[in-house]
Amino acid sequence: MRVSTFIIGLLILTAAHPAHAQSLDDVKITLQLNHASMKEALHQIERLSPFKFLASAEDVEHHNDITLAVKNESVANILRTLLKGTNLQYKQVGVNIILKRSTNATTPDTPPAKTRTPAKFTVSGTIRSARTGETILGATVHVESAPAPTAPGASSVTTATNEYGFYSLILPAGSPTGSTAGPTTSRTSSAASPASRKAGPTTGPDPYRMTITAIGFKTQTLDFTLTSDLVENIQLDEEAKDLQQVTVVAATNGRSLQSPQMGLEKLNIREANKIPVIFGERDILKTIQLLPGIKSAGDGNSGFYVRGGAADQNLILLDEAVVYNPSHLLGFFSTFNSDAIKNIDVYKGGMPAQYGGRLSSVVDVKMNEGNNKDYGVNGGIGIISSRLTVEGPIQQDKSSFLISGRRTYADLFLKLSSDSTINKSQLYFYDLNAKANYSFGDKDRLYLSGYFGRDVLAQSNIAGINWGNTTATLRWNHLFSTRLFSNTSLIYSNYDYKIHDNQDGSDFNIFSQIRDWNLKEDLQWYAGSKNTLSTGLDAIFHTIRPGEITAIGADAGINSIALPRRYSLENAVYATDTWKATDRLSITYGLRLSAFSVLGKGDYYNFNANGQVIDTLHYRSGQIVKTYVNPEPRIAASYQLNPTTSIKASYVRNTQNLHLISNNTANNPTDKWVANTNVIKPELADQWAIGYYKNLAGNKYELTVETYYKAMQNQIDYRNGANVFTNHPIESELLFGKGRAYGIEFLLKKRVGRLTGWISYTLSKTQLRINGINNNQWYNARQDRTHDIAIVGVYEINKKWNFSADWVFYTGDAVTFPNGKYTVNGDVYFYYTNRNAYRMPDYHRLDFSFTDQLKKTKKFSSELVFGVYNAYGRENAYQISFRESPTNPNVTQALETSLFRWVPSISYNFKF
Amino acid sequence: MRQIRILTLITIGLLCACQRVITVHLNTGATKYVIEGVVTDQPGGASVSITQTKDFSSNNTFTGVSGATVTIEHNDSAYPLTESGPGVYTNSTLAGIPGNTYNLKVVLDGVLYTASSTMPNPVVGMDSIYVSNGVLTTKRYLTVVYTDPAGPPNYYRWVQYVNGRQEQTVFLGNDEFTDGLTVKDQLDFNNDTKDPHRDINTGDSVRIDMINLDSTVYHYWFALQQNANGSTGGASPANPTGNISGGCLGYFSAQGVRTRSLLVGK
Repeated sequence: MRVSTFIIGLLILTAAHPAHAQSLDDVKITLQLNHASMKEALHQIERLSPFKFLASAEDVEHHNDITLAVKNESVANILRTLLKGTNLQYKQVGVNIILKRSTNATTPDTPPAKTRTPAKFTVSGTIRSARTGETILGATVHVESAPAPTAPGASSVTTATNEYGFYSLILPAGSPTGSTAGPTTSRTSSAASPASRKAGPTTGPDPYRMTITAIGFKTQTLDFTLTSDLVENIQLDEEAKDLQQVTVVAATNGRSLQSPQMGLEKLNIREANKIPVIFGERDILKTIQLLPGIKSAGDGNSGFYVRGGAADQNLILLDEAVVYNPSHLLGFFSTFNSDAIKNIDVYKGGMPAQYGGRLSSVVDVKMNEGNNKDYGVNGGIGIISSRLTVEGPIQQDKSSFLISGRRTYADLFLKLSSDSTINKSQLYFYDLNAKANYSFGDKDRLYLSGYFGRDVLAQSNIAGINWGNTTATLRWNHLFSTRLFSNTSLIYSNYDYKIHDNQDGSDFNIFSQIRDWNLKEDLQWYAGSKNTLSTGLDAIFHTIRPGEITAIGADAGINSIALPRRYSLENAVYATDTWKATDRLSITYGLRLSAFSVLGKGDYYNFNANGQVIDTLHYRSGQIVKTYVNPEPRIAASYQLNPTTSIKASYVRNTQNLHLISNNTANNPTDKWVANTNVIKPELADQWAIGYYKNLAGNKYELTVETYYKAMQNQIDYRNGANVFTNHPIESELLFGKGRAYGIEFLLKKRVGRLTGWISYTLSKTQLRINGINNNQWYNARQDRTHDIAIVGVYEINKKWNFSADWVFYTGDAVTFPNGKYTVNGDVYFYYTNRNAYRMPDYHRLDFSFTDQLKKTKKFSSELVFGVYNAYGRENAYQISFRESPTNPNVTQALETSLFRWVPSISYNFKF
Repeated sequence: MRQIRILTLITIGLLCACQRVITVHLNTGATKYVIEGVVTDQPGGASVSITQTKDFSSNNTFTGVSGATVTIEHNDSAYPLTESGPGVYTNSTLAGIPGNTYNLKVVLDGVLYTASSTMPNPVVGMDSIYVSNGVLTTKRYLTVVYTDPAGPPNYYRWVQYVNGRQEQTVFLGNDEFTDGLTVKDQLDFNNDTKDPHRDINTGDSVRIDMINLDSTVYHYWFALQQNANGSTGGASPANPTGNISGGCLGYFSAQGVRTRSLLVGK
C-alpha cells in the first residue's frame, strides 16, 4: 500500500490497487479531533483504517477547525459528518476514497440509479494555462475508451475547446471493471511520455482516457470513469524549453483530421513570435502571409489577399469586433500589437456559419485575457516602436485584466532635423489594448475588451491626417448546463479619419467615419455524442459618414459640405450541426441567412449605362430603401481513411454587404467603405474545396493539400478615370462584374523537434470580368499570382540561442503597362490596351533572425532579437512607372521603385 | 488630396526607397489616330491636330497626319479647317461664343470621326495671380485667384508658361466644394526632369491661361492626368474616355480662355 496522496497542483499520481475492499459502513473507528484541519482529519482516518484519500489540495484546505469525537463509528458516518456543509462529496473506489467538489444536482452519497441501457453523461470543463490562468482556445480534447467490458468498445472522440476554452463531450457511461461504486475519477496526469503511459493502473483500468493537447503546452492525460456528469477543469503546464524531452503524441497537435473544418490556418502567437519580420516588429498579419493561399499585398505590407479575393474581402475581427482598417502607416504595420494577442484563426474557406459579411476569409484575432494568478509586466524596445503590457488578477485564480500599449517613435528623429517644416512634422502611431474579465460563479463570466489606435501624419500646421480604429466588446459567457454554452456580445466598432488642410489659401477639415453597433448571441449545444449544434443571431447597425468638409474661418476658400449619412441594418441568423455520422465520417451542415436593409433617410438614385443619374428617390428617416436577403449554405464533410489520413470537402456561400472602394492597392486611410444601395448589390461568393490531410513520420510532419474553386458575383471596380473625391453619388463611378479564382495549396509542416517550420506552395489563378473594362473580357486580377512559395524554419541551437529564417517567392502581380504613347497638347501620354496583361518581376526575399535568451529566472527573463529583412538585398519592384527621361525629353523610360533591402533590426524584450 | 501624396512620399522616403531605370519588354501594337480639337472664344482659336500613337521605345517626336477633311459646325454653318502644317488644321476666322454648341467632323482614311462640345458660359477669368514659396521645398509656385460663379458647375484647366515654355503638368479645378467662392489655387508641379528652366525664378515671365471646360472634357483631362505615369499607387491605368466617336484617342473641346501674365520679382 502506498502512502496517501494529496494532489497538490497537478502532480503525477496513479490509481491505487482496489484489492478486496471493505465497505465504508463496515469499518468502524474511534476518532477524536480538536480544531483540526480537514487534511489532518483525513490523515487520522487513513491511519486508523485501510482507506486512502485522494483529493485536490485546494478542495480541502479551506476546511479547518474541525472538532469531533466519535467512538466505534463507521467511516461512512464520520465522512458524512465531516463533509456536511462543505461542497465535497466522496466516492469509494476499492480502498481509495475520492473527495471531489459536487458538480451537479446528484447528492453526494446517493449514486445515480443504474439503468440497463448505458446512460450518457457529459464531461465538460475549461482548459487553462497553469501559469497564467488564461483559457486555451482550440486545445484538442481527445477521449479514448479502453477496451474494458463496461466500456462501449474501443472508440474515440475528439473535440476542441471553443473560443472561451470550454469543451463538452457526451459519452456513454463507463465505470471501471468490477467497480460498483458511484462516479469516480482517478487522474493520470503526466507529460505523456511513453514511460508514464505504461505505468498506468495495473488492474481495473478506467474506461476513458482523456488526452489534452495544445500548442505550446505539455500534453496531459487523464483517466476517468463516467457515471454522472463530470466537470474536469484542466490546467496545462507550459512546454518546457528542454530540448531533450520533446515527445510526439498520438493526438494531433495542429489541425484536426476528424473535424470537417477545412481551409483553416491557426497561428499561435508563440509560434508567430519566432518568425523573422521587417524592422523586428512582430506582426501576425505579416506572418500569416507565409501560409498557403494567403498572399502579401506588397513588400513589407500587412495587407493580404486570400484565395484570390481582394483586400477588403477579409473579415478581420478583434475579439469579435470588426476592424475596418487593420493597418498603420499606409499598410506597413498591422493594428495588432502582438503582446496583446493570444491567437489568430484564418478561415480561407468553409467558414463556420457564425461568421459572415466578407467573401474571402475570416481572420479571427483573440486578445489575451491577462494573468489571473500573478501580476506581470512585459515589453520590448525595437527600432520602430516600444511596447509595454501589464497584467494581473482581479480575483485570484478567477479573473484578470490586461493593458497593452505600443507607440512608434520615428517622429523623434524628425525633430532632429534643422528644417523647420520637417522638425515640426508628426509621424507616429500608437495602439492601446485593454481587456478584463470577471467571473460570477462557475457559470457566468463577463469579458470587456477594447482597442484604440491612431495614426498621425502632419506637416506642422499646413496639412495633416489622423486616422484609427476603436473597438469595444462586452461579452457574457453563460453555461446553461454542461451541454449548453451561451455567449452574448455587445460590440462597438468605429473607424474614422480627419484631414486638416491649410494650403493654397483654403483652410478646412474633412471627416469621415464608419461606425457599427452590433448585438450577437451564440449558443453551442453539445446535443449528444454525435451532434454539436450552434445557433445564433447577429444584428449590426451601420452608420457611414462618407465625408464632411468643414471650412475654418470666414475666408476659408471652401464651402462646408456634408455628404449625407448612410444607415443600414445587417441581420443574420444561423444554425449549424456537426454530426459524427460514423467513426470515420463527420459532416457539418448549416445555413446562415443574412438580411441587409438599406435605411433612409436620404436620396438614392437610378443611373443609366454611362453612370448618369436618371432618377432620384427620396426616403424618410428609418424608411427601408431595399432589403437584400441571402441564404448562405455551409456544408463540409470529412472522412478519415486511416488514423493518419483524411479527406475533406466543403461548399460555402458568403455574402458581402460593405465594400471598400479603393483606387489604390497600397492601403490608403481615405479608402471609402460603402454599403449596398439600390444599385450596389451584395457581393456573393461560392467556394467549393476538397482537401487531403496526412500525418507523416509518426505525426512529426503534417501534409495538407487543398484545392478550391471560387465564383464571385457583383464584384466592383472603378470606371476608368474615376474621381474618388467627389460629392456625386459613388455609384456613378463604379462598374460591376464577376470573378473567379481557383488553385491548389500544399503545406508540409514540422511541428516538433529542434527544427520546426513549414514549406508552403500555392498554384492559383484569379480573374475578373467587369462590364466596361477590358472590352468586357476576362482579365487577371492584380493579385493573380501563379506561384507562391514560403519556406519557414525555426531552429533551437541551444537553450540560449534560437535561429529562424524564411524565404519567400511569388510571381509578380498582374499589371497594366503601356503598349505605346501619343501626344496631347504637346506632352507625351501612354497608350494602354489590355488590362493587367503584364507582370511585375518575380518577388523573392530571405529574412532571418537570431534570438539570444539573455537571462531567465522565475522572476525575470529577457531576450535580444537580431534580424535582417531581405538578407541578400534583392531589389523587389514595389512599383514600375513610366515617364519622360529627366535628361532627354525625346525618350520615355520605365522606372522601378523598390523599398526594402538589407533592413536590419534589433529589439529587446523583457518579462517580469 | 495632395497633402496625402506628399505625406506618402515622406513616408516612403523614410522607408529607404530606391529607384532605377529598367527595360521592360512592351508589346508593339497597331497604331491609333489621336485627334485633339479645340474651339475657343478667341479669333483664330479653332485648331485640330491629328497624330498617331507610337511604340513606347520610339522617340517623342510625333509627326502629324495629313490628308484629313476637318470641319467644325455651329448651328447651320460649317467652318472648314485647312491644313496649316503637317497634321495641324486651322480656321483663322472662327471664334466661338460662350454657351453655344460646336460639332467636329473629321474624315480620315474614309472613316468619320464626330464630336460635340458646348462652350461654358460665362467664361471665368482670374482676379489676380501671384508667386510664392511652396511647402517643404525652396521652389516657387504660382497661385491663381478667381471668383467662381455660384450655381451651375464650373470646370477649369490652367496652362502655365514660363518664359514662353509650356509646363507639362495638367492643372485642373472644379467648383464642387468652392461654388460661388473666391478661390486661391496654387499650381503645384513636380519638376522631375530636373530641367531648371521649368522652375519659376526671379525675372521669369509667367503667363497663365485659364481654360473653361465642359464637364466631359474636364473628365477627359482628369483621367489623362491620373494615368500620366502608369500604375502609380497601383490603380490600373486606362486610356481616358474622350468625346470623339469613331474609334480614336483624343478630345474635342469648345472652351473659353482668359490669360494673365506677370514678371516674377524677388
